[in-house]
Amino acid sequence: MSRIFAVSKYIFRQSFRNRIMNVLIIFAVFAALFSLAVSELAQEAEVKMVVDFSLFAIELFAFLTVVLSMTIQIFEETELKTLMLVMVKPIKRSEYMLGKYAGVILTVLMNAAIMTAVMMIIIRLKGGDPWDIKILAAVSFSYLGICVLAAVALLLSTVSTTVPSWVIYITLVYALGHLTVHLKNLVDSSAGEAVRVVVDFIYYIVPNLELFNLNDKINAAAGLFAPGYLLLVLGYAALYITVSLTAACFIFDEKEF
Amino acid sequence: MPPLKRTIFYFVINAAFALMCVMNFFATKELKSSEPKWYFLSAHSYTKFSQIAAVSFGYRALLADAEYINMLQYYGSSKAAGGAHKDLLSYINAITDAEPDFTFAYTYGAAILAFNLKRYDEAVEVIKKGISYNPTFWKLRFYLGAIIYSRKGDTLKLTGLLEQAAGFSDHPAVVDRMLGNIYEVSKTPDFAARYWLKLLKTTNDTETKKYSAERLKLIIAAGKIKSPALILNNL
Amino acid sequence: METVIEVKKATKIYRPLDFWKNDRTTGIENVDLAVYRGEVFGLLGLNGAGKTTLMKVLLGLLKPTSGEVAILGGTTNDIAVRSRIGYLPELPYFPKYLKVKEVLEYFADIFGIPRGAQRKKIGDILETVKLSDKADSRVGGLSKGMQGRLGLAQAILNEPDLLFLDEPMSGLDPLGYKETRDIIIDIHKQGKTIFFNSHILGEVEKVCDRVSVMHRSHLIDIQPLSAIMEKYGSLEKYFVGTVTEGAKI
Repeated sequence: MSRIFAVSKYIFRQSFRNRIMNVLIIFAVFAALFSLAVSELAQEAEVKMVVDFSLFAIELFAFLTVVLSMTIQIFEETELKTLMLVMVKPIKRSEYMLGKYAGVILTVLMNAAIMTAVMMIIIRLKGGDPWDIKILAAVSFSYLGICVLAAVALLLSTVSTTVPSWVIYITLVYALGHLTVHLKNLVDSSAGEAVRVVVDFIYYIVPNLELFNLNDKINAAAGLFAPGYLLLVLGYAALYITVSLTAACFIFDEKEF
Repeated sequence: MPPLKRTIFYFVINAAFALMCVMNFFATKELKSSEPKWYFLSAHSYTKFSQIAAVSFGYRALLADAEYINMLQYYGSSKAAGGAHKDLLSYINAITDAEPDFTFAYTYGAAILAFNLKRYDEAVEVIKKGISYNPTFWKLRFYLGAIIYSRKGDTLKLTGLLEQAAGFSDHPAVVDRMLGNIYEVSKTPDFAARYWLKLLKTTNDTETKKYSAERLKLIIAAGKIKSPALILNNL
Repeated sequence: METVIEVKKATKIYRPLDFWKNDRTTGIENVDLAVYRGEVFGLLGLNGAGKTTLMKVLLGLLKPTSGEVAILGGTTNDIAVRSRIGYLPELPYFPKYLKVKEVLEYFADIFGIPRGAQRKKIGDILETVKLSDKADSRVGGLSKGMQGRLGLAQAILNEPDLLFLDEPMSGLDPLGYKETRDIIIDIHKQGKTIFFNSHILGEVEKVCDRVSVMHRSHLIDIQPLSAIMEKYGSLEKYFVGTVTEGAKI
């Protein structure tokens, strides 16, 4: 456990020292500029726009944080061969993997928390309710979705050998993850057997990120904020993370340096 | 790993994967049942590229906001006013196509169509679309009533409904202005002036502020008020 | 004498880089080797002879295609074994943004050195490798030689029983040679075993007890240094002779 913690602390420090947190400054400037512009343009729907924009930006910047942090790690490990030094030390490869995962999601958590605080301040200034449970639920589930994505990112990093190929894979997963429900819906109503099998395969393998998307439902009068649904998604996320991390550890265990 | 332990491990991981698939299935089902049909891409929904992109990356609400700003720009431009805002309905539909939960877009759109432009049929169309997507949002039916009374010219009933609407925290500012205009005709000049003064002080909407100040000046200039000094002092 | 490294018929064939090609390369082939407790064992060879491959196989970074490798009576898959070895790769790289102290803290955490003991331990090690005044500097600001010494510091942090050094002199200046050599001799005096790769023959000559030569993936000869000096007079003569001889194989 202490070894996992050591690795996660290292990853966290790495993100910090590599100025990944600059993403936050960009976010704060963006959010401030946007809310200024919106007060000119949006008139009566100001608060809604600030909320929509912030939720979208938080998810996007959280995703970027994962990409940046992992890019630095993969680059260090493959190009600079820092991994060799660690692998001969008394640490299990699975411990190293889990430490890395914890480090990445902690970095994202800190980023997301600060961005959420900025959003809440702006909402308050615009006269909205910053403690609206729906907004907080939407942010939390965005973060949960990013945690799932980070697990996939780690799995992909064990199979891809270069940084660019990894970036392409993870971006593809991000887009497909939002699309799978729609693809499934499309083929379920009108498609041949072969296409359906392929789409079903994608639907069950790729993380279903649309389940975590509460950003678009903030205004819905009823629906997805029911505890039953949220629990189901929570369980799905937990299992997805477990399975992908296990697979990542398995592949990583067989790796040579 | 010893063989038995390995077998158990594989079993557990496969079971976890299977359970994950089942959960995915049921969560999607829940998503489908709690959301209207438009939520999913199909041959009939989301025909614009911008909409497909928004759906793909999960930013429908943001797209709706952009469309809302488009609509405001169109409504505010003098060129559109020259053409009597004839495309306003399609601008409103663009918002609600992107995010059918955006209830304020229906009430706002319907209110300007009905009360400012007197295009009652289009206003009713907007409200009906809103009701079909948000059947539990009762305020839409309320606005529907107001529009119908307005068309019939039943000022008394219309006033009653608008006064209640003005009590909702999320009512469009056009309701306040409509109410003031009715008061100018149906109540005493003093009553109307007091209403405009209160609105001027309480509203957050810049356009409404400007409008109520203008109305106040006109009423005072007409010289029908018993004690204009009282209101001027309050300004 | 106790054997700390025992290799039997170890072969490593690298998988082809692209699966559709059939360009397997052999790293090492049929290597037999035994290293005993307390000795300094030097591995010589030309570039590409397979020295680094052999070392990585010993460390468990590469898995042998066939044959057996035993380290300290076990295998490097065992964490307990790994906690007793140290490794300095050739031209080690450390993240530029970390401080020297932080690099060592990270490895100390992994070694499970308790927090309370870390400060003193790291201080001592930095003293040994003459980096005490750089403890709070970023790695990015260190010279190549200093980075090499930091590499040595992380390798001896856990007071290993068995130390692997891969080209420890590469990139160093003559003064660096001497400092590194002194550290190696010092560790040797503590009764530790050292296995090292080099093609700087002068250095090998100064510290090694036994010398082996690797050529074209094969370990072609192992001799005590004293026997070599007796027979050939200098390590260079022996090495050139052995490699030329080996070329005929």
